[in-house]
Amino acid sequence: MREYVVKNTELKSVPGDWGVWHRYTYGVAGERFFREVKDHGRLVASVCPQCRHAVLPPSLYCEDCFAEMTEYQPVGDVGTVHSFTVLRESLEETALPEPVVAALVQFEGVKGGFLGALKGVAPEQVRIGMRVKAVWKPPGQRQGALSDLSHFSPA
Amino acid sequence: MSTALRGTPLREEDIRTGKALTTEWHGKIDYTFDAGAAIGQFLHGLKDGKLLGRKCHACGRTMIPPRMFCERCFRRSDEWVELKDSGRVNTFSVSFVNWDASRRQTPQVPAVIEIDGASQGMGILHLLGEVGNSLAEVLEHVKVGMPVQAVWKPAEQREGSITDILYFRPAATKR
Repeated sequence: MREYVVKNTELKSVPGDWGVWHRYTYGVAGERFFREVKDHGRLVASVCPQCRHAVLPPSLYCEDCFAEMTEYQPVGDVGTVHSFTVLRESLEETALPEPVVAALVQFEGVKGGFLGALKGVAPEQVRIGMRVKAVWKPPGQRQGALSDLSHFSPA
Repeated sequence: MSTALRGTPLREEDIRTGKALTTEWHGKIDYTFDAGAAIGQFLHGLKDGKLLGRKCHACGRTMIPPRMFCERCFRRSDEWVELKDSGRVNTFSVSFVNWDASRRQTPQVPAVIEIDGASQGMGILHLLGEVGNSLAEVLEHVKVGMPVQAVWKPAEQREGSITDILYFRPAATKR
């Protein structure tokens, strides 16, 4: 037997809200990284004491030799575009007023990279390997988060 | 190499004062749960101060919470029946923690109440009240099989929710 609902008003619905939230702590290496970003507007990489690889963003352990990384070195603000994507729609799939270029930027002698918006260049003119510079938000606006990077611009 | 486990303990204060950097995400996830025909009617009943059950004519069981389908006979249940707002304690717990694991000063006593007029073993989960403020008092007052009586919210405050019943109290208690 199949049951049909003929009067929706007789069904009782119960509204609610899943009060879901999370707080992410960055960990030892992440804390050091974002502290540099917030307080000084600069990138640091962690350095492996054994194989001397430098890694961005910093990690507590070397992925290559598993040694604990306790050293940090500053990374210059100028890097090169390793990869990029041109975004023309928002997360809600509405058209963006201006296309946004998301670029993964790598730095000389450092493994890994940093992802940010690339501004000041037309999407058609972005090239892999082009030199770009990190532009940070003003010190008072930085919170120790990825969004502290305003954008990258051509160097 | 040291094998001792190391960590970085953080306190709420470290996060509040900015000693430890964090990012937070606060989601707003709304939902509307459709109670369905059986529980919908049951909730309507609560608003009217009634406990409604559902009877299956094939096996003769009266079921609460009600369901439109008898899972034993595999057929549609037949009839709405109004049950008493009293029953007997089937089982109970004495809890000193809240749902969010915070400590309670006085215990909460969740219990399964077999409702009078429903078939044996049929009941609802609710709270016992007026049964004491310590473990010893609760254990002295509450016995499995003890008759209990629903204590309702005032009619104008009822909203069609299981919380329209505040708790069940020992039926023998003089009020």
